[in-house]
Amino acid sequence: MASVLDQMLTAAAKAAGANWNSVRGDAEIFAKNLIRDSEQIAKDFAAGNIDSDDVKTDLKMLADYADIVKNYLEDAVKAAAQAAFNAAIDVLWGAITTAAKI
Amino acid sequence: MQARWALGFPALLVIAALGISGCHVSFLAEYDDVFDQEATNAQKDVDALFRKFINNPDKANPAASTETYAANKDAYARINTELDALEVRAEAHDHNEGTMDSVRKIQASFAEAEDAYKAKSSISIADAKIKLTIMKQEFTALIKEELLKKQGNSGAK
Repeated sequence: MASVLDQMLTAAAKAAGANWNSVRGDAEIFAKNLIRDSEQIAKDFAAGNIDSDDVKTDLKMLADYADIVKNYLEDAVKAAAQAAFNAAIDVLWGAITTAAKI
Repeated sequence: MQARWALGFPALLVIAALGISGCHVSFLAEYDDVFDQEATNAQKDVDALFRKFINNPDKANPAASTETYAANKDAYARINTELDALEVRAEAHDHNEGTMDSVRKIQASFAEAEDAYKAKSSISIADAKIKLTIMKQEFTALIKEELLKKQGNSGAK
């Protein structure tokens, strides 16, 4: 599990770029959920608690979840960039209004 | 005074040209508290539905639920309506593509679960637990995605 988790987080860090630190904690939680769910599905199938049709549906649902996580991480990067950009604009605006006395 | 304007006026023009004077850029839609509440309500109904399957084991076969798809058709219909309303609400905002796609993925997951149970005469309690876990995680990510918009707008005037 540790190896898969590391690989997932490395890929996510590469995609998030400079904003990785702002999304890292959530990315780790989501990645662990995906791995734990996959392991549970495999365990229940091996024990005969679920059948192959259940497995197919559950894996499709997990793929949907992975897409939602991807959307979340993309929006988290946008939110961090937006907050940083707007903070910079506030500083610039403040400097200009002070200089221009408006 | 003139010197101050000499410094500030060109910069003001630049800002005005960019359309950002005294405003902020938006890469994301504004936070929508109605969407947040409706997502929470839909999650509660999904939770209640799957818990009915989980909490009613068959005495003769405790791995299976006594609950059936047919007996819960109304709950499925209500949840599908709630998810449709969420989709419409998400579509009503600009810069909201991620949230719109996330709602559609939840609709797809719920439809997959519905189709699977419609076709079954007996529902596995272990499977209902897995499906509930995944649906809860999906709603958590969706609601967190909505809450991000507050963070993106922090400091906005």
